Amino acid sequence: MRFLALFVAVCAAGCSAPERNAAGDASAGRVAIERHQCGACHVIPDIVDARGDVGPPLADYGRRVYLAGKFPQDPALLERWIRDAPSLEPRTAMPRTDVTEREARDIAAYLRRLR
Amino acid sequence: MMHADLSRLPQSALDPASDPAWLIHQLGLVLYIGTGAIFVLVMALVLYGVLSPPRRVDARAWVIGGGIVFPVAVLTALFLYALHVGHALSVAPARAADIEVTGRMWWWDVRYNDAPSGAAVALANELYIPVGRPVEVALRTRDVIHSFWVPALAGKVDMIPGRTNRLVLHAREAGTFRGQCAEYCGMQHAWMALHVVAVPENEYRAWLERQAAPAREPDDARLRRGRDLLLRENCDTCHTIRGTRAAGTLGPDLTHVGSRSSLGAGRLDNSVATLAAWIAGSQSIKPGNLMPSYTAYSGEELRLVAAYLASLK
Amino acid sequence: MRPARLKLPGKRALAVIVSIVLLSVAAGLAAIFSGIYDVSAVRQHTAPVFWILEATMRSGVRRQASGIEPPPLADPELVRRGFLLHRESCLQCHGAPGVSPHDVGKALLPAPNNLVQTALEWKAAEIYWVTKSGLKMTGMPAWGMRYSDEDLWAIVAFVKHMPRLTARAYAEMGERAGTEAAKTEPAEAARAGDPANGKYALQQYACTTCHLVPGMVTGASHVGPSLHGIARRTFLAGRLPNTRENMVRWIRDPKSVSLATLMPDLGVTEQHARDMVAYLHSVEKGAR
Repeated sequence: MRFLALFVAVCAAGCSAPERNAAGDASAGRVAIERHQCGACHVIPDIVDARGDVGPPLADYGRRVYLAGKFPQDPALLERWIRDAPSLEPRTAMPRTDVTEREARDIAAYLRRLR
Repeated sequence: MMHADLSRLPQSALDPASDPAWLIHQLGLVLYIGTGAIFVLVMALVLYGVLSPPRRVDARAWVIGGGIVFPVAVLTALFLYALHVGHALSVAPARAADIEVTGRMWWWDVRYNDAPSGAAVALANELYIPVGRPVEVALRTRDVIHSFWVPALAGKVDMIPGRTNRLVLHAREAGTFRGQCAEYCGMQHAWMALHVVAVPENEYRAWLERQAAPAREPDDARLRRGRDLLLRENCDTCHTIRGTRAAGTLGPDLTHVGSRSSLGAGRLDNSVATLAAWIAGSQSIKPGNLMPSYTAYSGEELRLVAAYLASLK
Repeated sequence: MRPARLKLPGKRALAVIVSIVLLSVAAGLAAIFSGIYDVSAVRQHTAPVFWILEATMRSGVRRQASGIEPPPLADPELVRRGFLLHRESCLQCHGAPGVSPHDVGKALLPAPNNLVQTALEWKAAEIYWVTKSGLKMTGMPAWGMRYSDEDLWAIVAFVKHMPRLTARAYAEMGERAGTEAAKTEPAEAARAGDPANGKYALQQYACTTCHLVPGMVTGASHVGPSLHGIARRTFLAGRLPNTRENMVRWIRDPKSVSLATLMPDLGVTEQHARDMVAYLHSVEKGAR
């Protein structure tokens, strides 16, 4: 009986809980990406109808060294880019979005998981 | 960003919001339940035949009774019922249509005839109708056969080249109802959706007045620049923006594009970001559609044009 | 007389053969993934491995060079030009008669040959081919993109001349030349972009060290965005309309498009940039 309980406990511990950093929930991020239709401009893996060629593809984004070709990757900067890219680069084609702070954190978490 | 009201199922024939749709739904229910019952009956007979001890039956009676008389009776009744429903749904044009919808590959060209002071009202992929009042819609096509289908409000009515068909939309409740083209019409048939928004009569009048007005003048220099960039790239070759020199008719009227709930006939939600995505990359997200992807704008210019169009509410 | 029937190996023998094959594969994989083979540049290869690599290299060079006919190499002006080019590009790794290579050339494994030895052991066509195409997994670069064929033959002419030089003679050549730089051949006349040359250029300008490039087998590099599908995209650098001319401009002068960009100016020539653009467009269906 004790062994059974231990067995169950060990299995439960190994079950992957939804990936939740203090910094963002990747599965919520995926929902946000679909809702805000980021795929209209970007090709994004595992997102329905994300076939846009206006912006660069986001495959392997988690391995990217730089953000927007200018900045070293940084979580806070990525979130700001997602919400208000022109404030970081006035000449970019990427517009200000109405992504909330929470959503930006989740989207960033999803992107960082693309490896 | 505007989202369609999703408090009801977006596009369901099982969720009728008007009399015609309700008639069709009723017919459907009769069919589902009736045929279901007959199916159960037949299966029960099969099981009985298989499981019960063998005994003599009058085969001829069963074949004639169950194979000829019963189907003929049921099907005749059904036929008469369906005829009745069909007659109730048909529309003899009694007056000029209130709305003219022309199917085009792959969008809906919508024009209203009852705007105040006879002003032209043209828009795309969206219809507003008043709740509780029947509205007659004339259905045409400029190219191939399309089919106008808003399941919550009515059955399918084809749009056939050289013909004008009629449909009555009569919403019993307010709401946003999604529809789509129901006749294969080419590569992007699947992305030819539209929305019918039913609102109270006074809201409907107000909306119609707004749509009849020319395009809003840009408030600030940024939006003015957006408009100039739009004209620079000759968007007026295909599009109309009433109140500017843009008077093209190959594509949708953009006078109030900022007020619509979707872009690309349901392909995208409507926001500055998706407007930019559509202008610069429509061929990637709706390949084969008749608008090319515009690559002549720089990043900043694209955003200005999108901002201008979004301001046209 | 009837021919004897072929006797197939019995089940037992088959099992033994299969086991040997599987064990060999397993041993090979273990050797690779355990990391026990010394890959440093400090300790030598084991003799058998060295023999395999050398023999493969020699055979490969011999075969590639077999169809090449060297021009006459005895011309003193050609040799002198070769001397200047050698001093500019070869000396740092290979040294010269009486002159040490720089540190970079001393710390390589395999060490860069002494070119006098090379001149005596190798044919002119072979030296030309190695100089032009480089050698995989050594430090020998491919000079074919940077030097014209005339320049490369000049280098070969000089290398073939080297065994006759005393240390003094070599030094005197240097004194006579002073600080004169090697004059490379003028660029070829402009032509339309050539995709095959573009693929070569993308590799030779080290683009693969920052970008994933379609059609290239390299390690994954995510310093810059992937170039897969780049011909279809609306914008370059997020702001520049993606036309062929703009792509050439971006490649050749990134800072003129984006002042803060981390993409360096790699000194790409106009022709090479056009070739690269032609290649990137050729791999893309539906390119704009």
